[in-house]
Amino acid sequence: MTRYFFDLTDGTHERDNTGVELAGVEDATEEAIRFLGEVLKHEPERLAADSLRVDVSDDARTRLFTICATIKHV
Amino acid sequence: MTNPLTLKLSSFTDLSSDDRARLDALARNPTRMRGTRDLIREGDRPEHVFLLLEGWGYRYKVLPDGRRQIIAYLLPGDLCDPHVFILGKMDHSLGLLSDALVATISKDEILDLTARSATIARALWWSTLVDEAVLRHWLVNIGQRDAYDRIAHLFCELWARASQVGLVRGDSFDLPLTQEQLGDTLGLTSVHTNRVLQRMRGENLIRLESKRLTILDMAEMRRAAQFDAEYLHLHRRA
Repeated sequence: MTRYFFDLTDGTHERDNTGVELAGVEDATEEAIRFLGEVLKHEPERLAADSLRVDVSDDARTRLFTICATIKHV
Repeated sequence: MTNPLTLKLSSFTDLSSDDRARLDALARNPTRMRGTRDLIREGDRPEHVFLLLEGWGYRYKVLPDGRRQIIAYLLPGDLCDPHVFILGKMDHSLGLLSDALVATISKDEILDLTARSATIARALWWSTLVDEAVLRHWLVNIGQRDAYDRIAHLFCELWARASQVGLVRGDSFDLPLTQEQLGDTLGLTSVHTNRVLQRMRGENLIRLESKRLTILDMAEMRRAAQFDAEYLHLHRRA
């Protein structure tokens, strides 16, 4: 098990200071996608800044990947 | 220490000293059990009724892909379930969340009890109705509330239930749940659960450490959750 950190950013930045222990990067990826989905569902107004992203880091705070939701205006 | 079953049923009705003695008889010869075990599993044939005297339990179901939904929490004073032996098979599992003291009651004991005391029989029906009301409110909670309000509502409910059986000191009580279990209860990722708890701590709404929850601002917690304790039927019918 490794501790992963899930920071949430729209206009503001919410740093995750405690993290969650997960079995590996695959689990962390799925968790990040589901987490972003929950935020979009519960707080849709956060996409007013046009983009909402979850940055995932490992326990050394090395950035591993980002999941992002964006409104693209045409 | 008062029998938590007596405390719980007293919310509904006065209990005579004979009835209290009958309820205490149910609780004699309890067994100490470790927190990791199940009481009964989905698919098993139910024979006994479990009375939780100390510790917490839970109802849960595991899906074929391994995901788990926690369906209810069981606190001291809870009988799981008064007439479960009517069913051929369990449709869910009962497990323990902490080390516990559990009395195992036979079908004959329960049938004898309800035959001898109409008051207790009615009180057991009442407690089943309350369980159903809690489930209805969990459905609304999970279906409609956002993560923050969902957790706030559950915390208010658990405080009220723990309080009913004498487990709250100040505004603190033991909450033997991991964040993952909270997430499995409320349909939230651990990440989101963690985020809400951090926010509640930052707002001085809760203290949560070593599996003990303190609600620092009960009025605010109830307001956020739009919590109305009526559905717990904690008070006598007027």
